[in-house]
Parts: sequence; C-alpha cells; structure tokens
Amino acid sequence: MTTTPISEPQPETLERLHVPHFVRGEVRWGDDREHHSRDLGIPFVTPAISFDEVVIPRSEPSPMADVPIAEILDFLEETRERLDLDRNPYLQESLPRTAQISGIPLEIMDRMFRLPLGFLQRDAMEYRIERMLGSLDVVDGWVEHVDPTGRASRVRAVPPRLIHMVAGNAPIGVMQSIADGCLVKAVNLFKVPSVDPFTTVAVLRTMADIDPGHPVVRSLSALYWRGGDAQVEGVLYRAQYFDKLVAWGGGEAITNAAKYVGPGFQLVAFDPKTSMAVVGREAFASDEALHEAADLLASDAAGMNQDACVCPRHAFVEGTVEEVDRFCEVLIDHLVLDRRLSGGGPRTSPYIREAVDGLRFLEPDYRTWGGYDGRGLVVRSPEPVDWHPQNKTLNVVPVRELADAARYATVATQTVGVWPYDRKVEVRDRLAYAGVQRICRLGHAGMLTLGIPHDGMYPLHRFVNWVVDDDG
Amino acid sequence: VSTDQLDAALIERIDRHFQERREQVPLLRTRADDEGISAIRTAQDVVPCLFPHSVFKSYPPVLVEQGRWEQMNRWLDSVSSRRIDVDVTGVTDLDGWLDRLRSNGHYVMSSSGTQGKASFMDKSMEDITVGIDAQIGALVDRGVKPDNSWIMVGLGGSSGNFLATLSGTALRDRFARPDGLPNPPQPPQTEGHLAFMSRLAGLRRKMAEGTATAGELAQMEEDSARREKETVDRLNFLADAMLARADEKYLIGTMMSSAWRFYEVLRERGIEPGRFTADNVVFQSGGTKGVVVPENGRALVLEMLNVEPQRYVQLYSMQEVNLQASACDEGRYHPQDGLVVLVLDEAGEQLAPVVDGIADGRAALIDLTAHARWGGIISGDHIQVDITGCPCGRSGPSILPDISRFSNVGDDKLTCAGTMDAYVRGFIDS
Repeated sequence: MTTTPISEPQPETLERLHVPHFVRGEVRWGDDREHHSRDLGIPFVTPAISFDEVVIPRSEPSPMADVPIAEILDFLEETRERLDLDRNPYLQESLPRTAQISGIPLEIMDRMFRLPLGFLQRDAMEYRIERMLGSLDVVDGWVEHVDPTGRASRVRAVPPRLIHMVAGNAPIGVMQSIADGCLVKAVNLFKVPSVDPFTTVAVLRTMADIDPGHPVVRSLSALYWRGGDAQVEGVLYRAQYFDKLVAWGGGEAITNAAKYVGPGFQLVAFDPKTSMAVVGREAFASDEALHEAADLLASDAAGMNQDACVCPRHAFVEGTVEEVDRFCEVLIDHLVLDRRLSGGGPRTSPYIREAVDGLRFLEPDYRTWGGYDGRGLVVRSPEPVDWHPQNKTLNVVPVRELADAARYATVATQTVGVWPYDRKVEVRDRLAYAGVQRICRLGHAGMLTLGIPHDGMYPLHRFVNWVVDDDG
Repeated sequence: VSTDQLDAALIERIDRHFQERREQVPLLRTRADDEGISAIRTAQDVVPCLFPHSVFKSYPPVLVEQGRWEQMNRWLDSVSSRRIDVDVTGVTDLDGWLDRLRSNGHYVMSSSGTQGKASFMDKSMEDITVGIDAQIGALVDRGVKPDNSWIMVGLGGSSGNFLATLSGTALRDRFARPDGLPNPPQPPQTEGHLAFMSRLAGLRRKMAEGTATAGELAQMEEDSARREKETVDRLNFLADAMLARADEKYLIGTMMSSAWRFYEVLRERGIEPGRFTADNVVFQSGGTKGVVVPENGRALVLEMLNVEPQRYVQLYSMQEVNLQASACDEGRYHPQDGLVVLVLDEAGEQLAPVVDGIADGRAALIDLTAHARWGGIISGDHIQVDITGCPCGRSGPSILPDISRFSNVGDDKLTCAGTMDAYVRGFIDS
C-alpha cells in the first residue's frame, strides 16, 4: 500500500516525474501507478483512480446545467486572464516538464503559451456558440420554432457527459478542449496523453484557484491512465456514465477505444489527418513572388516542427520540372529558418533517410535539397512519395494545372493551403469533392478562423444532446 | 559496463570487408562519407554504416507499377557491389525484370514484407553457394547425415523464389532418398507468388490513395481466400502422404508458422502424438509471420512429429545475409564463422552496453561473405547476446533463445497528424 502525499512532492527530490490527477476541483498526488511516456520512455507515477469520484451518476445533472451561459463565459474570461505565463505558477511548473516528456523544445513551448488565447475572449466564445449551435439561448433553455403546418417544437442543447481523449502533439489544444467542454456545460473527463500529462491539470488548477467550488470546476476532471488499459476503459467507457468519447487524433489509442462504442456511447472522432499545399504558376512571375510563395509554404510546414494535422507534407506546384526545381531551391532556404513555433526539432526519421538516400541515385527524375539534421528537407518527385514526410520534410510534385492536385487529395486530407489566394475559388469544389475539409490561404494553415467546421463537422454541435419538447 | 562486443581480430576482418565494399556499393560510400567513417577501428565505427533492412525496399513503388525498369536498375545499383548494367528492352513486368537480371548473373532475391512492399537485393553465384553450404553445414553440425536416407518435406510450399528452389535442390541432392513423397498437385496458377504479392502491395497503395475500385478489392479478397484454401489443401495432401508412411524417417523443412498450421491440420483429423515413430528432423528458420502460435506451440509440434530436441535444427538468419546462427542443445544460436552479430540500442544508433556479459537490444549482422552487397544490416529483431560463452561448452557470442520483434507502435500514441495508412483497413493483414 502506498501513501498519497497531501502536499506536492518537490521535483528535485524525485527520480520519477509525479503526474497529478484533478478530480472535480481537487488535485491528487500519488505514486500508486508507474508508467512510461511514449516516444521518449520517461518514467512517471500517478495516483490510483477513484472511479466513484470521477463518474457523476446520471441521477445528478451536470453541475453547470442550470448555470446561465453568461456566468460560464465570465468564469472562462477570468481563466484567460490567469493563464498569463508570467503570472501562472502552474504553467511555469508544467512547461519544462512537458518539454522534457514530449521532446518539444522549451523555447517553442514558451512561445506557444504566450500566444493570445483569442478563443477565450467573450465575443469569440459567443460567436462560436452562435455559429455552431444557432444561439446562446439554446444552451440555457428551450428555443421554439413553428413548422409550416403550424405545430411548435422547443429545442435545447442539453449538456452532455464527455470523455475527451486529448491529443498529445499540441499542448495548447487542451485549452480549447477545456473551453469547448464548458461552453456546452458538459460533465468533462479528460484522458490526458503520456506525452503531455501536465498541461491539462495546470489549466484546471488555475480554474480551481478562482473558485474550487464553482459549478464549472466541479464538472472537470483530468486523469492519466495508459491508453488501452482495459481495467480503466472497461469501467468508464459505458453509456450508463458517459454519452460521447471525443477523440482528437488516431492510432492504436482510438482503434482500441472504438471497440467500446455502442448504443448510447458514441465516438466523436477528429481523425488523424494529413495536409497539403498547392502553388500556382504565378510563383514564377518574379523573384519576389517565388520567395513569397516559398516562405508561406515553409511557414505552414514548419509549425510545431510539422507535428500537427494542418501542416502540409506534399506541395503541388504548377510548373515545369525546371521551374519547380527553382522553387525548391528557394524553398529549402525558407524551410530551415527558425520560426516562432519551429526549430530545435528532432533529426530526420530513419525511414525518411533510407527512402531519400535511395532517391538520390535516381536524379534527375527525383531531386533532394537539405539534409537529415531536422532543419529542413525537400524532395521533388514526379508523383507523391510513398512515405510520410515529417520533421520538416516537404515533398514537392510538379503539376500541369493547379486543379490536377485534387487527384492526390483523399478523405485523409484535412487542409489545403492555396497560393495565390484568389485561385482558391478555382480549386475548392474539386478538392472538397475529393474529401478535403478545409481550403485556406497558404501560410495561414495554423490560424483558424473562429466558429468554423473542423474535420467536416461543427464540434460543439456534435458534443451536445439535442433534446426536443414538441407538439407532436 | 562496457560496449566491447568484438575482439580486435574480428574488427580487422570487418574493416577489410568494409574497405572493399565501400569502393563498390555506392550507398555505403555515401553513408560512410556522410558519417565521416573511412576505417573501422572500433565496433562503434561500423554502426552508422550498417543498412536498415528497409534499404532494400527504398525504391519508389511507382517504378515497379509503371514498369520503369531502367530506373529500378539504377536504384538496385546503389545498394549493390556489382554494377547493374543490364539492358531492359522488352521487359514488361516484374518477373521479366528479375529474369533479365538473372540471365546477366544478378540473382536478385525478392521478398514481401509485412507491409506488402517487396524488397530486392542482388546476390551473386558466390553468395548463393556460400548460403547453400551454410545450410548443409548447419544440418551436418547437428548430426543429420547427408546420406540420402531422408524423406524430405517442405511444409511452406513453393514461393516460386529462384534461390529457394536452388537451395531446395541442393539439399535434396545430399539428404533426400529417391523414393520420397509424391508432389502435391499444383493448382493452376494465373500468376506467380511474387506477382500476387506485388499486386497486393499495389492495391494497398491504391487504397491509401483512394483510387482502388471496390471490384479490385473484392477480386483480391477472393484470390486471397482461394490461396488460403490451396495452402490448407496442400497441407492435407502432405498429411495423407506422410501418415501413409508414418514409420519412415522425415527431414521436414519449415517456418514456425507453417509448422503450427500443419499441427492444426493433423489435430483436426484427430491425430495424436505417437503416430510418427521414426527419428525425424525439423529444419526450421523464420518466425511466426502472420500466424498466432501458442507459447507451447513449438513443443507440441515437435512432440507430434516425433522430433527429439537434438534433432530440431533451428536457424536464426535473414535474407540479407548468406550465413546463419544455428541453435545448440541449450537453444542458443551460435553464428557461423564470418557472421558478426552486434547488439545495438533500440534506435539502432549505438552499441548496446554489455552488462554481466549480456548485451540486450536490436540485432545487427555483418556477413563477411556477402559478395554482391555490403552485408551490414540492422534488423527489426530484439535479441540478447551472451559474449562470455554458452553452457553448451562453445566459446564466443551466443544469441539467447527468446527473439522478439521491436514494435514501432507506441501503446499510447494519439496525435492529430496522421498518415493515410490509418484509413486502410483489413485485407493486407492476411
């Protein structure tokens, strides 16, 4: 039997990282379970899970159910002010630990957590609810409509019970997940990833400092367990306790979780995605244009050192092989630049190196620029390569017409950055029909407009339970 | 703790081999130059020069799909020590390309991995001869006499692979009695094994690209099911033939996966251990690819086929090398002279430390007999090597019995950045 310390252990005295749990307003420390992070295999310990504390029985409504949305927005605005990195001890503490366990360079983490949290501004939150749910009123109460035959219905977006499987590749994303869970007044349980078990709890502790007994805080829990642990998932993933499993990402963790899906327990899956870019022949009109297009492409590809779904991996460039090679020569110079959210990333993956070493003997049909140090690598090929470009690797493919790129888009293609911007109109239908979910301006892949669909759906709309009181 | 896995004499032999191949294998030259390695003076020096096994499938698959054989020649040349200077005029398909290479002295070995994409590696007649002699040597070392007294049975069936056919013939010449079992009837084949695997790999790619038609997929499912049935029919034919002569002496060549399936076929007929009564031999290399074998599966197979432990000849090897390591009575594998076994860290970048005489990590092999290739390979296998000798009495390094695969999949991976592979379900696994 292990003991659960009542105060936070001092990091310098520890051999293993301590990962706290957060249970409806309370922080829990303990070393009952030992785990290892994925990728880097760093050991850490967590307390045991007390199931009865994290599952709110269906006989009890969500703590936020009867709290007006205006009050919840007040609370989230207050949270936003307290998430200032310079003044927030929890983020200051979690940041270096997250850097250590995720391998994301500390400077990038630091810059990421200094980004303005625009989605937590009141007008932004109101706009998102209005765009995705129709109105603020529908969250607080019953909104009436009358059909053409004169009969009335009253609809409410009723708070759901959600388990969020948070993606590990972009720590800032958990803030959005927490906000979204609150905007729909859900009961929220966050399953944190082993590559970032700290950020979620740091944000929730910040919220508990405002008022540990606030209904918002009492609806939030964050736990770590090893993804796929049947002793935990077999208990929690049930219609009797939760409505929906909200999964950001893919892989083994989701494949495994999907087997629990059944009547009353749904999967809201934001699937693993790949992205691409298309560049028009206007890039060859002048040196200035060439550099502009190359820099915008490099900037999209380099974000989070290319470890995000919005980052392009293949770029289709309208031009001859000679023109495209000129583009690649310029592109590599822009790709190796350190940027706000890029730099200091891992070396090129061995599988890419093996493949590219092979291609080096196939010039001029294939050509490469850059090296294997993780700063940037460009591969020009007559068709997309059969391996997955990552760690700042771009595969550039010449196309005769911009619209030809649609042939390479599939349901797995999330974002397509287009340059010049005015040619979006020309390609967007074909891309959309091929399965693409977002067409954006090249260089803006990481900057999402508020209130837009994600992966083919409006997330908040999918989270809530739409309930009707109608005349029949 | 030390990382000394090799003695000075062996390092010198590695360096001699490296110096020669470095001049001949373009990719080795590039790799060694990139890493600043001009000579092998320590075991660690050679590590960055070893090729991951995936090197032999690093070509763009469209080259095969679109029949760009000239470029395939150039790619193959980069991983070979002899120039691939072969006219490909008139070559129309993969089998034709391999035939053309073979008629020019390039015995290119092809195999399909778990991902379906075929690997290609050049072998010379020297490589082939060394490989066949090594197999015969492994059998003789375990007391199996090359006296043409054995009924030889291959459970795996013909892969249509030229090299497998050659070595099968060589073994038969020395070990097989003339009145062996009848050959299983060959179902009419519309395409060879390699062509089928190549079509499977191509279809998988088209699935990921979203261009495979439902009809093609249905056809592939149907063909896979038919091949599966042919395998079972074949094993049943062999079971009938062997049971009819159950007291005669068998030399059974197999992979563990095929052996287990044969065991299942026998069990389904209600056959119990004891039906086969002669001192049979099982000659096994290769793992359990694609078949789930229970923990005691090997013991059950050997008991069923009446194979005493000392007549179970088990090899550890891989297609990238000519030589192999053969298991002793302790179940440990002893590499043949000329085959260097190194243990690396999981990433394959550093030598693994030797702790209490044991190095634990990723297997790497250097075959000093490799002629048409460099012969330095990093595998996907997780091994432990005891450098202090073996309880069987032999000195030198021995590989401990438990060999597993390193998995690339983290248990807990969740990221929004995915690959198209996540969208392709099913058929490739079979």
